[in-house]
Amino acid sequence: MLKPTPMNRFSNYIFKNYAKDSGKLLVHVGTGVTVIGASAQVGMLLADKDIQGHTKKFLVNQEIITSGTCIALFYGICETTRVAVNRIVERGKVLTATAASYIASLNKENSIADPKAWKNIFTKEEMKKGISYNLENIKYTEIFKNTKDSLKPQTAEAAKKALEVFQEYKNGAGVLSVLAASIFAGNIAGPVIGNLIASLPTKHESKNAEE
Amino acid sequence: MIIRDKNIEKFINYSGKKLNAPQQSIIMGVSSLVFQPYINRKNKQLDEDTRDMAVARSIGKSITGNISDFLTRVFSIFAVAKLSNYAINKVNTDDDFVMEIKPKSKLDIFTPNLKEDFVPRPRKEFFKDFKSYQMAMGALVATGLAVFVKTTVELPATKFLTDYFYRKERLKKEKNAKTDSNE
Repeated sequence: MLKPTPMNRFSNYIFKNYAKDSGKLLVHVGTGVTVIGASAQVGMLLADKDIQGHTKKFLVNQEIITSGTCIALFYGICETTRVAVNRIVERGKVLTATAASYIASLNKENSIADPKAWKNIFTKEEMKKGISYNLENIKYTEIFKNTKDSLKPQTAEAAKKALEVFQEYKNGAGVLSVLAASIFAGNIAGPVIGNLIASLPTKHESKNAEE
Repeated sequence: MIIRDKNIEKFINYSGKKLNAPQQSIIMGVSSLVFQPYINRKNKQLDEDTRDMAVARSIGKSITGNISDFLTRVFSIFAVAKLSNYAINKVNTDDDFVMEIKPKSKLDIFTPNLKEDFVPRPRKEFFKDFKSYQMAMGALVATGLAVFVKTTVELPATKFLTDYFYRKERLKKEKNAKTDSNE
């Protein structure tokens, strides 16, 4: 086998961590760009000779504090949302009818695949590991062990298809939740809280001036 | 809870397939244009002049920041796709396994040439995963490229737009003040 180059190791790392999880990619890339953008904006303000004195001081303060708050809020809110939604989806708290039907169809002895029947497929202990894990390792689940030998190949095939459908839904739910969280964190919570904090030196200055 | 509405289901699945880093820039850009100037305009703790400058800057920053992010990301994903050509073993159907992947030429620096993590995979899954990998790698390359783009292109453009929107904001206020005094 060829000796892995640093670039190969990097490619593999990216593949393993991001290729199947767009939500995670959006959180990390979004945070990275915010950090770079904030540093550049502070640099621009400091170099700008047209903005003077009090206004410049406020804008630099506002940029550093707003950006710092935005970066912390962005990462905190987006990552928490992503992890929470991931958990909700993996535990089956919210499922689409198609994903639920595919999981329910793993019971080959039950001819009607009602979406609600998915709850009877995995045991409580198995569900603690998440739906993806059980579909990937279907051979170790109780439902597979209790299936007639003649139906086992069909069950394994159905698990593959169910995993594909479930992953599609999980990825979509992850992306949407991260986008909603990033709009809230980056464009509402960050600027509101940042403005409040950045205004404190201005308030303090005007108080001193009055005295 | 089971989502039975087919349209919601389609929307969720579509988002997972189609929304990635470039679309994130557009969505963030549009929403920041809606919220940030409004939030800054309502910031009564500032004097009028500083507030006008903050509003103008939030508009300028939203436009240039997100357009440059979008273009950098699209360019990087395109560049990664062009520099990750590969050769695989012969596969005829979607279920056939891809056993080996090699860069086509020395220029294909983003093509992984290790077996573990990538193969063996059924052809259908391999194509899907490799496309996702190219998008992810492109978005990460774009983040590195952003250091250069932001300092050379985005900052001057933000300053230009900030000045433009600041003048506009002042003109609007002067006009309103004149109308009020005439009345």
